[in-house]
Order: sequence, then structure tokens, then C-alpha cells
Amino acid sequence: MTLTGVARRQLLMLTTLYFAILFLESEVSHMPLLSAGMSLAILPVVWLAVSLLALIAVQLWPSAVMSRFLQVAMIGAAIVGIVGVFPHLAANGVTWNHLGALASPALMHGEPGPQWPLAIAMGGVLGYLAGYGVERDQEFIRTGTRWPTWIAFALVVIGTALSESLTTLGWGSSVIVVASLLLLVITLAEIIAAARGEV
Amino acid sequence: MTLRRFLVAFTAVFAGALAIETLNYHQLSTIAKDRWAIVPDLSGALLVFAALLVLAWPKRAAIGLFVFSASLSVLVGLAGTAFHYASRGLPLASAVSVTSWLGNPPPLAPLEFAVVGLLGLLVAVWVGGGTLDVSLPPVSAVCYAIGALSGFAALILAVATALLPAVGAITAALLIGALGFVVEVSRVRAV
Repeated sequence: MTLTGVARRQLLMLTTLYFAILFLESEVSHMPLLSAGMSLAILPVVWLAVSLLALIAVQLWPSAVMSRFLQVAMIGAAIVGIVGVFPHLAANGVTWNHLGALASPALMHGEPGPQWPLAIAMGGVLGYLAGYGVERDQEFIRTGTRWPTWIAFALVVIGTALSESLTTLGWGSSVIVVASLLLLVITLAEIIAAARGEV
Repeated sequence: MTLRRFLVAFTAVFAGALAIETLNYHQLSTIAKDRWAIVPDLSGALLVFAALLVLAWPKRAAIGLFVFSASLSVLVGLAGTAFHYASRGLPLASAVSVTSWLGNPPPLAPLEFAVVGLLGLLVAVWVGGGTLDVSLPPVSAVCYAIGALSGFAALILAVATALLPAVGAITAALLIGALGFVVEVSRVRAV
């Protein structure tokens, strides 16, 4: 089970898009919690930022080292996603003393949704697959990264940096939205080109 | 087992999770106010059905339906993002305010439909990713077929706005499909 060049590049791009969306959703909901003293809420925001940087780095400088870095980041994302379910359950009233709340029909549409962190774990699986053995396709990945992709990656990095402060969070979110839409267009264009046999 | 088949199965799980999510959050009260809110429920269920159908019967018609469902999911993702943002009545100029991105409905969440749609399209057009058409153990084929039927039932139930039974049908589709997948993988390992 190995990825080939074109599909790997597309999957890396798609995973970057997915993590950008997760980052935005996570940061806008978690960052305000920090001012309320819930310091652990920073963990998914930081790990999603690290994962995004790892995904971008492996596409700009593909190598065995970057591949390992990405795999570690993705395993971490899977762990953060799975562990994150528990504080989300607790926020919905599920504790050791109130395990009966697990059976509540209201649980699945609670705020925050207990299942939301699992999306990060799913992204971890996709990213791990995309990053496994990147060194075999490094020339293909490097030459396939053109200026629109560079712009999208630059926007993701700028947006991520701006989002680390509550005062610039609004600007950071908007930059990430623009980056996400750009990544979506680039990925779609790559898939269409692949369908036409142009790559 | 090819990586391509694994990614089709992953698409089914991803789409199923999104369908369950939207069926839970786009409740009857939401649909009563805006009947278009049913569209992502249908799109997710359709993609689950199509993906499991491809795993059970990877022929041209099934792959065509899979490509259609994935394309629809991309469109739903893009349109949903616009609708979620517009439904808050905020001007575009306020996009740089954090309050534009906080709260309900979450503006960027629908883009996850676009991601799963793109994943489906990526798998469908992937040249050199191995064949989708493999000889399946009968148990796997039956599980995928029952899973696909359950996905189709979820689609019908969602059309009828029987949202809770639709969630049950999608959950059943994913569990039965997962059983087929485990049997398929274990047979490859045994060989």
C-alpha cells in the first residue's frame, strides 16, 4: 500500500486544507477559553499549528527527515483528537460520577460536541498516510509546488501567527479562511488535471 | 487490499461522520426555518451509500455515482460556507472581527464537506493507486452491500426528515461496512 506522486501531492494539499479548517474552528472556540483560565484549551490549537507547519514543510522541503517530522505530528494529532473527547464529554456533564449522562440523547448535539475532537484524529490518519515515504516522491513534490501554493502556504503561516493573540485573532481567522479557499481551488485544479491525464 | 480501496472506505467513514453531525445539528427546527438545511444531510448519506457501493461492486456505474456524490459534496461545502456566513447577517467588511467566526452556525464547518468530496474525487481519478475491482471474500461483499443499502435507507429517511432513524441507518451502514473491511483486510493478511 503506497501512494504515487500525483495522489500524494493531492493528499498532502487536501490534508493541509483540512487542518487549516480544523485550526480555525479550534482556535476561535478555544482561544476565548484561555482568558477564562482554561489553559489546557491551548493544546489542540498549538498542536494543529504544529501539524500545519509540518504539512507545509514536507511539501516545500520533502525529505526523509520531514517525513518523520510529519508522521510524529500526525500521531500527536491522533492522540490530541482522541484525548480531546474526554474534556468535551466533561463539558457536557459526563463525569465518573455521572456516566449515565452518556446515554442522554442531548449529548450528541451538545456544545461543545463530544465527537468534534475526533475530526483531528481523522486528519491525523490522512496526514500520516500522505507523509509516509515522502522521500520517494521528493522531486515530484518539489517541482509540483508552484506560486499559488506558495501564496496559500504563506497565508496559512501568517494566519496561524496572527491567531496566537486574542487581539489579532479576527485578522488571523480571515487570513486562514482566504488560505483555505485558495487551497481548495488548487487541490480541485490538481484533481481535474489528473483526471484529464495532464499530470 | 489496495490503498485506493482503503481511501474509499475512509471517505465513507468521513462522510458518515459528517452526515451524523449535520443530522444532529440540522434538527427539524432548523429545517422548518430553512428547508435547504436538509441538503447536507442528504449529501452525506448519498456519499456513504456511493462509497460502500463502490467497495461492494466497483463497476463503472457505481464509480460514476461516487464521483457525482463527491462532486455534490464539494458544492455543498462551498455553498454551505456562504450560507452559514450569510445567515448571521454580517457584512463582509466585518470578516476581520473574531465574532464573525465564533458561534453558530459555524461558518467554516461546511467546508469539511468539500474536503471529503475532494478526497472522494482524488481516489476516483487516481491512476496507479491499484485497482478498486478486487476479488472479495463473500462475507465482505455481503457486508458492503448491506452497508450500502443501509446508507440508501438513511438517504430515504433523511428525505422524509426522519432524522433520528437516519442517524441510526448511517451508523449501521458504517458498522456493517467496517465489518466487511476487517474481513477483507484479514483475508489479505492471511494470504
